Amino acid sequence: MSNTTYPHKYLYGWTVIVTLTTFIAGFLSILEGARIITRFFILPDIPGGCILILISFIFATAVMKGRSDRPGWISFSYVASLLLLVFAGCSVLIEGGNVLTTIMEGEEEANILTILSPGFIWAGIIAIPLYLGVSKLLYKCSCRGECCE
Amino acid sequence: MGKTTLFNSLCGVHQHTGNYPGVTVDIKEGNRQINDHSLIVSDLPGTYSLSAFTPDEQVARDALLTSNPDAVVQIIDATNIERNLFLTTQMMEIGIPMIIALNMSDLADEQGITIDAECLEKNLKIPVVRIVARTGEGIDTLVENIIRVTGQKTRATHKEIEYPHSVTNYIGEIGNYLSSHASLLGKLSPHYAAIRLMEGDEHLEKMLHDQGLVIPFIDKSDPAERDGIAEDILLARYRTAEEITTCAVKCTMGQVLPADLIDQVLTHRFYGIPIFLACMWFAFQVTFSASNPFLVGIEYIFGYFTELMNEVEMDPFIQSFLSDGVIGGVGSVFVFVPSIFVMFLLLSILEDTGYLARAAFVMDRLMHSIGLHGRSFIPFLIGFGCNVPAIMATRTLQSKADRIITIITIPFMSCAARLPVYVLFAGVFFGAAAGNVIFFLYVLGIFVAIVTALIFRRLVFKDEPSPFIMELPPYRKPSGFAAATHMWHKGREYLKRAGIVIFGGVLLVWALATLPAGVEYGSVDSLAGIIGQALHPVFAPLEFNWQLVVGLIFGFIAKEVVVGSLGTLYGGEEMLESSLAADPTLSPIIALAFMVFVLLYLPCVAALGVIRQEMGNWKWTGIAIGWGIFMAYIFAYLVLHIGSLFIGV
Repeated sequence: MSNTTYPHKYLYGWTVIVTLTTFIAGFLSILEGARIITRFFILPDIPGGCILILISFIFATAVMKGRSDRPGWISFSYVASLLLLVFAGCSVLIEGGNVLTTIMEGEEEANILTILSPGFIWAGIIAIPLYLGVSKLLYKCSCRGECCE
Repeated sequence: MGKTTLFNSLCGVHQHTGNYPGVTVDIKEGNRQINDHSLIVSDLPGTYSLSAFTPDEQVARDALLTSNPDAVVQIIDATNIERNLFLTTQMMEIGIPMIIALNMSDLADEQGITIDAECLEKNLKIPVVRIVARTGEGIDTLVENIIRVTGQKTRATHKEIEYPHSVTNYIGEIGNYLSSHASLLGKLSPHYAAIRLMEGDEHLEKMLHDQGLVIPFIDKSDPAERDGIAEDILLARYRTAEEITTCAVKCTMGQVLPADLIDQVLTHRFYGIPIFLACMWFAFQVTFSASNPFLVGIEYIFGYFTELMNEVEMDPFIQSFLSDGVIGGVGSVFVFVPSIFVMFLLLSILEDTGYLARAAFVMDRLMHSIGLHGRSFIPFLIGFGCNVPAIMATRTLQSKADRIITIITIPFMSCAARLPVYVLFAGVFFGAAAGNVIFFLYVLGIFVAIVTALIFRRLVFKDEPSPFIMELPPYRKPSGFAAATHMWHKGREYLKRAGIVIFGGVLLVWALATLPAGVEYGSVDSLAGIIGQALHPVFAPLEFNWQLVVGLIFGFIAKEVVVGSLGTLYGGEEMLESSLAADPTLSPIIALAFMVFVLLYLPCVAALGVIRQEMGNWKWTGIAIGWGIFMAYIFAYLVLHIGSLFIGV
């Protein structure tokens, strides 16, 4: 495989999908946070939305690098998907803590499903296959130099 | 790297370790008893050479040269042997018995680095032991070697460095001359002293000069020749290190490591800082939200005890002491223990992974542009936990100006003790946005530190900060056990403080709120009320009520006392949050201005003591105090008046 061809085309294609998903999740979180739209089941969260868009930019850099620089594609998509998964985990903790507090305070409006509302969780789920794929490539690429051959 | 981890393992203690260099800045001692052998182990600050530039390096050098140890264990990073061998070449010439511990051997194996320990041993004439300090692997063998080496009665003879002939002649002549004045050299051998003098050790030269000894062979009129000799010595050391590494180390894998690929992104010039901010934002969100259920649970328990207390018939004075002083004051501080534990857990995880060291690297460009040394960011990071060790960590800075500026700016890093104030006020006045408010306060602290550094660098210290070289530690999967242990040790410190300093402070406030006898508890007629009212005009432009003023005054003892004081003044803990929410003199924007003031105004007594110790004089200590109060007042005022345009008073 030449260094200038698309790397592992399915994973590369998935990177594009994750980029778009992350960007859309971030954009919707910001719109919901600004109360411009309210119809999606996504947490209104302006700072969180900005972070999702930041991660989508890192994915986009990976996509652009993938055309000519395969280690660059691997490193950017690996770090972006790792960040997304870690932040998704943090979001579960945050929303879980909020729901639990609401229940402990005896408020009736507690809805356990809100734990799943942060955009990070949806984008994170879609990023899992990418993370698994590129983490294997990261090791091969760095230690044995195989990913560029 | 890994000295303190090994020290803890050897002595069974729990000194703070960090996955970045510069955590140890002074000597720590511990003991280990093995059969009939009693070892006294000293943990020295890390250094790459004996040519000390920073205060912590001077501590290490002086200990090696003057304390006459029975043996020195040099911890060498197995993934980068050559860089550490320079120090080995210097220490070999002192003649101290040595042992080399190749730490992180497991990582070296993972990275395909094969180390021929026998070849190293043979070339250096020093025992070499492979260890993994984190897991304890190889420690027993290391201890056996320490006992064996310390038992040797003769002076150690290690490999000799091959210097050019001209240098050898100089060293020989000066060494012979110094032999006749050996009593002036203390514990240094004439040969080693001669090498140090040829390397340009001004400290040694001055010491000898002060004792009336002038070295005739050192021609001060020709500094170029001296520089040339010093350079020859330097090159000979590097050559030796390189030769030994070439013989003993073989790398079987590619040049690019996974860490290099990850660093491409995490230290990226555009993405690096936003990624760091995103990580910190999440850390504070999790700190607030994940600890909240525990907080509610503890509040419930304290509320139950207060009710119980009120139902039992007892002397009203004792009842007030227990319900307002103990439960209201100390209880209100204990409520925030879960938040402190969660924050320490998250910071430990970030540190363990090796990310915080990358954050320091990323911030270097920004730090330089504002006139701070890149290395200052490490004390800043430590300052998020506690300002006291952070101020001590400035000993890793070479320039005095860098140290002074960093020490003045560290108190703006929001330590864990301030977190209860934020969690309380942000929770009461900002509800779901509390996490964002707490994040804002931490960022504001960094911003004020930047402004301070800029002002001091432009107006007071006009020299350029020195360049920053930092060893990036390896990435590691965070160990749940290590993070939990770290969290427990830090959290335990908080509990101890709550038990002693905070309890004392809160009781003082309770006494002031009760006295003089006969006044209504916590009223304006009490001593606390009189003090608060007296100082109230000073804080009138900030719209703080007298209770907040009393909290600020006693917060000087320890920042947790701010919450404890308010808990005492407002009554029992179960009432504090609702009392604050119901107080007509308070509003979200006043609460925000108050939090900003608490963030910036003064470090606690303990931190001030360390500032005085590190500054070495009252002048700069006074400037640090005055500057903090000035910035707190200005920023609280700005937040109040600009913020009220958006939030409304």
